[in-house]
Amino acid sequence: MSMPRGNGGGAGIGAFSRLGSFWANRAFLRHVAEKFRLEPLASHVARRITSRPLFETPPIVILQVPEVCNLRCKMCYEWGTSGHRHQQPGPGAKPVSLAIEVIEGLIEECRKEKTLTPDSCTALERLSMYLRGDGRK
Amino acid sequence: MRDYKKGQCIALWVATDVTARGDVAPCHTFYDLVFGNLHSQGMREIWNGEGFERFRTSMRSGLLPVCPACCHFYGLP
Repeated sequence: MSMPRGNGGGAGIGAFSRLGSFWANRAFLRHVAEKFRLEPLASHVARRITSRPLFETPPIVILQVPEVCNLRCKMCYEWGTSGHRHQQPGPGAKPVSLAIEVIEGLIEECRKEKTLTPDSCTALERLSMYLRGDGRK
Repeated sequence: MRDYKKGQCIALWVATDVTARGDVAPCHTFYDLVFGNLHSQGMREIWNGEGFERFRTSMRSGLLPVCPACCHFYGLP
């Protein structure tokens, strides 16, 4: 006995595909963006940040801890198939790692300006202690 | 839907990248553009330095072709 296929009537796959097309409906998305005024809010925040005096130290610091990536995503401009680091590190080569002294210096410097919250400072200090072997007791 | 057109990226005002070699790069798509090294300078000195400020000024007027492919561009307001 064969099951009915297609979008004809009732619940099932057809209903889900209709729901998907509903959510992808551009008119609906325009309605949401206009109703909640997302775009003006985002540009307002961006203007406020770029026009205020610069933070003493950056509120967000992104650390590249080892200079390596295990993935080779196609679209990646760095490690992907056409990326300039695709072949790095070479066979048997040890990747460069960020020195613990640099991380500790950053914590100290950013703590003065309260860039990091007290909690994140503690977490980073614990991580630093662990990496140094002091926190393994 | 009217496309959401961002004319500016605020990452340069709120974030910076530190590479594994200690270099401070303004943007993670340009690790070869660095404004200092944390082994020899402090973060505050680099962050408020002339090179960083010049880059911010140049990026006020527009974006680079790679910007729309960056996660920070969409993750920040």
